[in-house]
Amino acid sequence: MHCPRTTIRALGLVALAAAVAALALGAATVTTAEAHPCCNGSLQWWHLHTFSYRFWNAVDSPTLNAETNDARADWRDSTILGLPNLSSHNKPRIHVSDNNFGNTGWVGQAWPCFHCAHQAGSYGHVYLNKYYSQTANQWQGTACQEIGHIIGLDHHSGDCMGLSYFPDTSNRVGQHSADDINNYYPHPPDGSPPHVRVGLSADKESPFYDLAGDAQP
Amino acid sequence: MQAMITGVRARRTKWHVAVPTLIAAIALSLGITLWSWAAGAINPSPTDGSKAMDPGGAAIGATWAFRPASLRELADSSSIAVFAQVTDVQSGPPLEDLSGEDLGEPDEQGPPTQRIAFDVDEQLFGSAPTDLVVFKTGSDEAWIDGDPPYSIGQSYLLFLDQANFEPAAWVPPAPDGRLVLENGELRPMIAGPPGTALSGLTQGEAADLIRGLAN
Repeated sequence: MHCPRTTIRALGLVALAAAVAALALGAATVTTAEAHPCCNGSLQWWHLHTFSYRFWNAVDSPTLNAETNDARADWRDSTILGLPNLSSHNKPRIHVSDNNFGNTGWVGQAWPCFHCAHQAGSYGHVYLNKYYSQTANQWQGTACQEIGHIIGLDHHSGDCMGLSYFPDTSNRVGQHSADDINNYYPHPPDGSPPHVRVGLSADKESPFYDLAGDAQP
Repeated sequence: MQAMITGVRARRTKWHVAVPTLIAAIALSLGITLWSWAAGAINPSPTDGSKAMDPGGAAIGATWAFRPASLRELADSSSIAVFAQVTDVQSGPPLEDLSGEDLGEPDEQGPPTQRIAFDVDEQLFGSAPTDLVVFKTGSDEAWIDGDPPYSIGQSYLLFLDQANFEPAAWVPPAPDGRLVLENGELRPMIAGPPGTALSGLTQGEAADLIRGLAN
């Protein structure tokens, strides 16, 4: 009678081991499949402690300016992030401008300013290259992808983050990107402690407050 | 007494099985987790075949203006196609200086640029000089996904157009217009139809294919 009971218990432990292994595999698989943080996970541009990026749309072209605003609103409305608009150059964390850079090959670019001392490294500049002709929707897609880079995403398929890299894309923020942002900011993929957003207004356009109570901006 | 002895034996038998099983379970779980973590760390990006193929390090996010749907479309969009070897890599003025405009921050210099000097080894179509300079956005430390740094001494297949912003320079019309020649075979920098058509070909095989398109 004792041997079968022991065998049953041993089998139970084996089943438990298999379950633990399956859970570990599942968790790791989900992490690998869904994680698309920009720049090898360096989080170099992430403004984690406020979930807020002051946004300066300094685009001259009326069409590109309007599409940049649409892209900003798309990210604001699709994610937990705030992108409060600035009407002047008052220490933006995302700065978008346009220019005719010529046939450089790229139509949009996101660049972190590493040496802008007063911005403490959390500043990104989006350049739109109006040498190239695009439809209004395509410009929104370009602005959407470059803003997505600055708030922390790499290229991935399914929405604007895949434009010019993947066949299945759109010019809008997709559920995949929104989920990534909404997961990463509270729980950064670099393993740093969870972050909590505080002081939000409903429209996400008013000042935000960080954990120390400082107004942002 | 007999019952006590039997109970002790049962407990001994249970731990004899349980401890190794638990150790095996923990080891298996740790092994799978570490394997998955390592796989993710080595290649954290999706691998559905259409992602850029350069190693990590890209710090400049960008949207390309043009991605050709075929090798023919790439060739039709290029003035010249050459096999050429890198002879020098020089830093160029940052993008802000190129544009001639104040791009915002008083201490912002804009993205870096490079000029890559080549000796042309073989001309496939168009009128190419014997040596040329290619404009590149980025540096050896930061580059656009799909357009990693060039290496001096390395040979490439290049599809190029003249830069309209710098008369002496050339630019690929798309990131697909640059393939490295490694161990006698071509390897694309970014996945796409032209890369698929040319990947693994020798210089002679690629030259025949491209000259055939041009004719």
